[in-house]
Amino acid sequence: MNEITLAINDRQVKGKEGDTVLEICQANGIDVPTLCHHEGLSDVGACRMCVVEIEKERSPVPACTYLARDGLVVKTNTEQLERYRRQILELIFTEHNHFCMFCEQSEDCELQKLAYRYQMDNVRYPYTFPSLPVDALSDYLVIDHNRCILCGRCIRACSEVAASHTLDFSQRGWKALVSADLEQPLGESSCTSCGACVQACPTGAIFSKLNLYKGKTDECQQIKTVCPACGVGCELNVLVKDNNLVRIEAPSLTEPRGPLCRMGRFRLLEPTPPRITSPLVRGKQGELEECSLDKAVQVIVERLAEAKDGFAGMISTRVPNETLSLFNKFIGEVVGSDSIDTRDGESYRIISEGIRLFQNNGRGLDIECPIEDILEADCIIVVGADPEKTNPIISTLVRRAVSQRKAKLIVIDSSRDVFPLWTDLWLKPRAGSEGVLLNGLAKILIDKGLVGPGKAQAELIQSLSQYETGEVSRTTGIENERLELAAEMYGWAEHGVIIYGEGLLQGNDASSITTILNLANITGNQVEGELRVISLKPCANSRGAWELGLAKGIKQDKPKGLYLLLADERESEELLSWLKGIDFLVVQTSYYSSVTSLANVVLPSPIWAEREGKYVTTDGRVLELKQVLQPKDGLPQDQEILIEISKKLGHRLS
Amino acid sequence: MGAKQLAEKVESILDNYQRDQGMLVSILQDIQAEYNYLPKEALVEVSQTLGAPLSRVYSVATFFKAFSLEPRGRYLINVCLGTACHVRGAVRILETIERELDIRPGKTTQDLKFTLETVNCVGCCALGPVVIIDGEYHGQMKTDKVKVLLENYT
Repeated sequence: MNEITLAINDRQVKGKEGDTVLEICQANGIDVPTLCHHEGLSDVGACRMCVVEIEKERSPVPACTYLARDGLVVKTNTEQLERYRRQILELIFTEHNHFCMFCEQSEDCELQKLAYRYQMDNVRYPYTFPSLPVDALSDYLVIDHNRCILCGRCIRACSEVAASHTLDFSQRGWKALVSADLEQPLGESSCTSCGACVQACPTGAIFSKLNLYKGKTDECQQIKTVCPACGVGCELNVLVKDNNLVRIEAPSLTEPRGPLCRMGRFRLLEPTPPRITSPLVRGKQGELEECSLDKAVQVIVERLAEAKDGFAGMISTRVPNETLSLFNKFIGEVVGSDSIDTRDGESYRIISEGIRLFQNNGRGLDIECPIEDILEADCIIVVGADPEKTNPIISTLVRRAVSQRKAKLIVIDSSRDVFPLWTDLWLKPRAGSEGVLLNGLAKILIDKGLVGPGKAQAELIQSLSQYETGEVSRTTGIENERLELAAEMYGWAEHGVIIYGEGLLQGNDASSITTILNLANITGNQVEGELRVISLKPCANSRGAWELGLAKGIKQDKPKGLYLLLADERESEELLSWLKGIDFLVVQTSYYSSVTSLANVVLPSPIWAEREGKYVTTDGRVLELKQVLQPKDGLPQDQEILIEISKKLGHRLS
Repeated sequence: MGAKQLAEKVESILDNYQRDQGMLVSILQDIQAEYNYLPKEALVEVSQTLGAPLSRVYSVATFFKAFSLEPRGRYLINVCLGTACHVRGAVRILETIERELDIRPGKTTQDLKFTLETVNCVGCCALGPVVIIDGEYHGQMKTDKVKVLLENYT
């Protein structure tokens, strides 16, 4: 990039060719007011707040869309420009209904701040007082068109960042509105409630019900932490006031893991079931009774002293590494049991067996590529996974690759097309025949010669010989042509990524995973030992727990006693039915639930915001979970309780 | 009109333009010509086949006045409200038509016969006040001529 020099407000400043005047101003600390410009979104020059005077231009131009050239002479703060800007503000204020005293966004509003800055104490034009609709039907979001200035930031965030393309302008002129799909309520549209529009909105036009009247940005403490909702590991900027969560924002909208999703941005703020605030022990009448921690520990210790065999431990993978490794020691050394598992241990055993069968080189989960690879892809296969449900950011990245890079998208799913608006090819195999389908694809790739030189070894070719296309077609119920089309799409791609998830893991079939790794390997989708394959892991710290070796598995069908550290993970039907019939159940959890009603002893546990420690993301990065809230009622951390029990049993854990 | 017929018709229009996203306006024009309006189902079909976001298709469809999302009448009435027509009583002409057809400007009669629109000058001010019905110009309109004029269209 060539360096250029220009004069801004009689000051010589440097920039790069291709920069806009606004970028150079901002880089050099020259303040230019903006409204429709947002860091990381494309510029459209709609609001005209950033107008600047440029020598030899016959009228002022918007700095955000004007490309800088060498030798430009720019003025950003003349009296005339300031007058223009004030006039633009007045026109914006008259166009819709901007009445700050009714607006939650007051004090955090860019429009209001500019009005103060330009000392707008009166408006010289008549107000139009239009009567515009308010859409409050979505679970999390509200659009109040009365406060909209039509800057289009939400629309650009929706298409460029979230790649949802739900929002766009409808109508034109004074009738123009931001609307979703066919001017539908947001809740009935293709909106995924990721909230990128909320963060982009400069006024109070789009806001979340969950943030209302909790606090202003300036009153809040801001803490950077990592999202506990899934294993992608997005950074969160959490705003806290008086030990309450006010709002969760993305530190940057543009990072691949930046934009956040409904799970990280909103669901963490939703009301929770009642918290467990004190240890509980089942009394003589069979009712849970509050008691001191000492008493609860005593009950556990007595039981453990009585009979240790048949005792097992199970832990949620929402807790950080520190808690996990202490729990591992606790069950191994203190309880003296080798029966330990994570809630999602079954998934791990299938994935790791699949990787072992592929190539026993000890790389384990490191064989997978980082999720940013999806953005580079020109062909993506999603098999047995529903990322929009489990890991929405993965689904955002897939949509971005499809809409911005024209990547081909193949969905393999026996029940539904998980990207209905985006899929190029949906293969619908009969339930349970996904493995056959994948092997069939591998065979077609080899037969058509769409494999890297020397990649398809004789052994593999031999093992695939039974997957003749006709046979595969009969088993899976998919026509030959579609199978061949899918194989060609993936085979010709230069950067093919395969994403698989729980749908494939539930089949309990490790060989399907081996086949996926083979597919990536033979087509050369490999960089420095990493294959372009991503498995969606169930919880925020699944990978951390698995790497620490906690997913050993519980030896008995039904242990006699179980220590379940559920933390703030919610119950599931499957867990409940498994827990029934366990003699002695200790549950350490944050909330009252059906699980606690089965327990003999219930111990409190902090929620995600009250914990700290290390998380390992789905692709192996280590991130720091920070404590953003003081534990409710001074409740102890998980570790303190484990240490307390160990002490009573004569062990020193640290 | 069955959903299947509509899908087939829209498909054939899309094929005329090689399913090119850049031809969106022309595609919508052809659909409008076929049905006299843009059925919502057609917009969904266009969006899915072109791979263009539904919101974008809707945005274009609502931007241009030539497109209508509601069924239009067989005959389009345009009443000129330009300055020359205005001073010669165009507003009264408009009111008479509104009363006669029982619709407001921008709306269509229930029997789908007439759609009423207003326009700000069509450039033949000497003829004013002017009413244009389906491209036919009727100059020097008078309120008592309105009823007879409308009865000519069956």
